[in-house]
Amino acid sequence: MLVAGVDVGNSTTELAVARLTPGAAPDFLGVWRTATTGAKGSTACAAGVSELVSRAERRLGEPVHRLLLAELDPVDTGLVELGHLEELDLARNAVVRPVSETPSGAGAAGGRLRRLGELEGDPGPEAVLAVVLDEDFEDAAAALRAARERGHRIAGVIVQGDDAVLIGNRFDRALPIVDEVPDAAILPSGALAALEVAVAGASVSEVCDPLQLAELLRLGPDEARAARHAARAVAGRRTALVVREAGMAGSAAEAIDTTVRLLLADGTAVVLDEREAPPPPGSVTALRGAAGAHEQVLDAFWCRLPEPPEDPGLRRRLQRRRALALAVLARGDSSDLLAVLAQRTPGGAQVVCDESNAAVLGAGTTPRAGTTPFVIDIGGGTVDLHREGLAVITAGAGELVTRICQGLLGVGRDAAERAKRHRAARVETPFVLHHEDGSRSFLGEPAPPVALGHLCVLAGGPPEPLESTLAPEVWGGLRRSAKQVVIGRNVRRAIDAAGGVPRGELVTLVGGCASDAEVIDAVAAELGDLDVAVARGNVLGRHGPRAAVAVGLVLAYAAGS
Amino acid sequence: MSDPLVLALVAPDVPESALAALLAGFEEESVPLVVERAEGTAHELGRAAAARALLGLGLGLDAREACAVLAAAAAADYLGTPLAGVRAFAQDAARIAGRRPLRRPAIPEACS
Repeated sequence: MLVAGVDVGNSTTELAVARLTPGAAPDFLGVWRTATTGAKGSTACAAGVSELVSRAERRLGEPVHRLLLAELDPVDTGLVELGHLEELDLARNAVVRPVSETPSGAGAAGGRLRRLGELEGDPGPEAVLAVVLDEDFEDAAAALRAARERGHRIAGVIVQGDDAVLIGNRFDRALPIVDEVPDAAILPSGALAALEVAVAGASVSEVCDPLQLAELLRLGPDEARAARHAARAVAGRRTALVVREAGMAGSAAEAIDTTVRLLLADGTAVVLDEREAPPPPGSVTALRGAAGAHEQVLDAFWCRLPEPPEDPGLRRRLQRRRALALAVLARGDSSDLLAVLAQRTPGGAQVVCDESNAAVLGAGTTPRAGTTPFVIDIGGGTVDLHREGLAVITAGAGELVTRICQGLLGVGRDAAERAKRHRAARVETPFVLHHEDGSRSFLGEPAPPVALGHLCVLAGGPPEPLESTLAPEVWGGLRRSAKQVVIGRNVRRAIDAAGGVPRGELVTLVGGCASDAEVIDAVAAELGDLDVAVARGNVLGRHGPRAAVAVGLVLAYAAGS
Repeated sequence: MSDPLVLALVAPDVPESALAALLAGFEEESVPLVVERAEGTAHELGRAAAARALLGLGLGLDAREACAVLAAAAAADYLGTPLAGVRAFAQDAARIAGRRPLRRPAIPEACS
């Protein structure tokens, strides 16, 4: 009779099939895995499980008789952009950030927005920021020269297209000119605005100062909060544009919830402070506010995006962004999934034990592991610590690291997943790669033009470009920091909650993330002061750290049947 | 006179408007470009230009298209465009010379 242990994870579903013969140890015939379909424990997961079972049956030429599962609690992971919520809450200030890569001139300027056509008349007493829309750069420069000759005080220029240098060269090379402002056409004519261009390699220094920005935009003392938020929103960028829009409703802005509130086990409610470390598992029972509503919470983990000390501009952008990486583990109900899966095999489907017991049993199949007193299962959604008679489950693992990579790189989930797992390099020239350790290597064939200047994932094939121009050294440090901050810290939280690990003890790591050498390094560094040995599981001696739970479910079933 | 960093060889029948767009693209990127008139197809001109350019990047323009050729891989065009798109092409070619990412549509908020 064939049975299959099914580990439905937050990211990956694994299936271990074994033949059970009375009086003999299970004969494991293979392990299969696929991406989890739907939220962990939901009926949507049945599609992925069924596909795996079909693959196994085709390969083995024999039907699976029974499916064996563990209790399933889902984890919700995400990024909460607190800084972005504050920008929406800017009261009477609208922030526009031009994507200008080739601005002209340097310095900060404030004034009233005026279209080129509006500068054909007599000058007013105030400085103006001229707005160039679809005019040809030669015509725009001529119009600006003529306006200045008529007495208009042109303090800066905002250009919709990519013509800043061309206009600057024909009008005034010193004047700050920002371009590639996609929404220039809807900028309110007559409104006060401030813009700044920093010299190449630097970031703005005046409009990111709330007092100077308030001066440029003539903000009153009652608008100090808006000035602070607007200044923070443009910090760390080479070019910035802030437009003051009169008449934006303050009441609408106040309706935006920019906080995350925690309901604690002692009945109190507190506002989440992202600078504070998360409390031990079991302390938070519910969440409210900007992160959505979560009930029956078992654990909540959060951290800020890692910040690179060697890149002050990026560091400031991350600080003002205030992105909160958040993972919430809630009690789940997988009875519906079980009912659906029970139809898939003649012997039905059943819950055999909890995940921790299964993981311990699975990790114990590692050669020389013995009884594996401490097993840490690092999966997609949780870091689980298992020891005899005790399990601690903490929210936040590989998937949260992926979300952090996604937030840092500005890419989709699949690209972030690959960037998390593989080294990266920047294509410096068509033939030269700049690696994370600062070394260079030469390409036999020129890199594709779209990869030039970009950070690229090196996964064995041609460089895979990411939408990022981060220095490889900076990115490598951020990626490792993300693993340290999420997985390293969660391993520590789990160990602390379990009462610690005796000195000299063996800690065996299993789970998908344990196949990542950087994760092993992060855990070993986190546990450095505990004097423990950190080893990677090798389930059944051939599957590496993967499939421990799926294999353990079969072992638990065999032991009980 | 010193050799050009980037050289564009332009066929006689390329209109002045395309030449102006080529120059504007390089000027916007603040990358110097030397332009000469010569006979040949875009690829032939690009290849000849790459052989003479100090940065190993040559541009060729004929009445139909424009291309960029790398001296170290001169058998094929590295970048190309119909003549109507020469302004954006010129900025991208200038970015290759300047080791910067090519122009792309605006991307969502990222930290780079």
